[in-house]
Amino acid sequence: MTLDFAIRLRQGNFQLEAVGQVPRGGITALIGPSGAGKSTLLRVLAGLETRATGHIRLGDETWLSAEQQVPAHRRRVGLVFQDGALLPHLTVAGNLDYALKRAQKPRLARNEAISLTGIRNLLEQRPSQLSGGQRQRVALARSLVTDASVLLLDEPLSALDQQARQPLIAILRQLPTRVGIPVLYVSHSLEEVGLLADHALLIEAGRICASGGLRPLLTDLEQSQARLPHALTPIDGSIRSHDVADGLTAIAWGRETLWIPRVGGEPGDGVRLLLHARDLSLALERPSDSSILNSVPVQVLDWYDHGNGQCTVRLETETGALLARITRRSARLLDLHPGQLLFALIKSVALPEMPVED
Amino acid sequence: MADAGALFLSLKLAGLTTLVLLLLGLPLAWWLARNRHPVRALIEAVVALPLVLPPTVLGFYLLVAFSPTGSVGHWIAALGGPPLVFSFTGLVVGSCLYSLPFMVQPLQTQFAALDRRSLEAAATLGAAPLDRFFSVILPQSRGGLLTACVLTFAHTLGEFGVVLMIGGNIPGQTRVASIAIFDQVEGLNYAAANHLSLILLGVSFGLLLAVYLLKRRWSEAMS
Repeated sequence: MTLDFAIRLRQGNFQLEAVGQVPRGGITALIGPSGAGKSTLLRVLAGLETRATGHIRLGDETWLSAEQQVPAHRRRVGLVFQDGALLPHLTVAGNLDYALKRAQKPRLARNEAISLTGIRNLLEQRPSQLSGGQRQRVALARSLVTDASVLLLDEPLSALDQQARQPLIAILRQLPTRVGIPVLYVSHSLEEVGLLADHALLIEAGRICASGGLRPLLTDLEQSQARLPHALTPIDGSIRSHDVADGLTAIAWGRETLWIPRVGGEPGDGVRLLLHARDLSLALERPSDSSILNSVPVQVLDWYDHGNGQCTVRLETETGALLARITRRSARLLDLHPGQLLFALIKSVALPEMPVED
Repeated sequence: MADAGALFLSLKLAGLTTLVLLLLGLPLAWWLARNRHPVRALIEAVVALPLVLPPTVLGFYLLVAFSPTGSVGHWIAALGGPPLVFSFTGLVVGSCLYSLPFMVQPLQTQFAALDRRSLEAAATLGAAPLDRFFSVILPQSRGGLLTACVLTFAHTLGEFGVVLMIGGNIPGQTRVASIAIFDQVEGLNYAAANHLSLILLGVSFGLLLAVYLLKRRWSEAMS
């Protein structure tokens, strides 16, 4: 089942004209700068902006067409607002039951949703007594005990501090396998998206300008995301082994092995890692006498000159494209050219969860 | 006690007026709180008019309109309706107009302050519009609802000018407590006037005190 849309909405000077798809399986990120229309698009999909025209279809069910507009309460959408939007006159349990009472076939059972989001000890609390992170976990649980056939998350982490984000990211990563419905995740944070999503829609000034797999999109130099100073490449590996003495974990990534600070998990478990373009450098040969543990063979595809002495280079690896940000001088010294074989030195790796300390 | 009937009639009038105004005031206040239509200002001004108008002015025009030859009374009579002058029914209609702002304004303020997100969240959770009204709007508006009802009730209880103009002083029909007090004072029965006045004072004060105590408790629970 796929969520399909082609919608048009005018709001003052802003025009939303978005065409796209949210597939099942994995999280689809809706990425774009603030003011690009991310939240508005989500509201249109949920049925909260009633002046939108065009079409919205979920599988063979039509929510919006020239002939009909299904109201929000019949759309089977699980929506998590930026601030949670819990009903203030009800307790946490009351909020869950509010949704359950109106659901025919809840996506998750009450107990499942409670344990997935870890809110069992909050049930008797009032929303006003909760922290931001707790509120978002309750809002997520509440959206999962509805008839939702699609889950829309509107920057659920944006109001939280770094510490409150970690546990939520761990919960969100489990969503696709737990609920098996299309999940659309709005964010302006590449880091968040990089850790969570598998597909992406890029939106700019009310238009979806590109869509597809997350990694190809984030490394596409035609797109502004790839040119940002904090551009990054998400990569998927699996745990090969732990080296307890050195406090490291070996990650199998294609035929390569990456050594990263020790993480939890068993050998064989999948791990999502983020490689920031600025944490990669390029060398003609694989260094043997360096403190850098990780280097992988790459081939130069193309690059973008930022005009300020910096270049972002797109590299081909065995598993897909990779971005590295180097100085223009380095590019000249390397005699950078397409097809060139180089080694990417990875200075550090961003991890989805806190390294294990022991 | 001779004036028990008057007191009972006052309570009945206030109760009925509050009920009728609640049914009319809820949709009107909702419309006023949610609409930006230019007609809104006009309706707001009309609703607020009884706050500043001398009750005798309102009563006078109601008397003219309600009389069997008046514009409204003529039609009501033609349709077989009850007489509106010097009758209890007329008092209820007059009180509804007179106390309208006391019902509508607190409700309007409350509705305007309602969090739109709550309503949207409820919609995405599968609540239809009427369901949202009862499960989100009413519980979140209980402070404003209580204030509106109690103010309307207490204000109708203390009504005098309008009642005197269109109701007169018919025992069991239109002789409400405030009229009875006036009557007793006219007859120099200060003890009886004092008796009835004390009861009205006590009831009004008790009601308002209860409202403020309850609202305090509710706002503590919500924040």
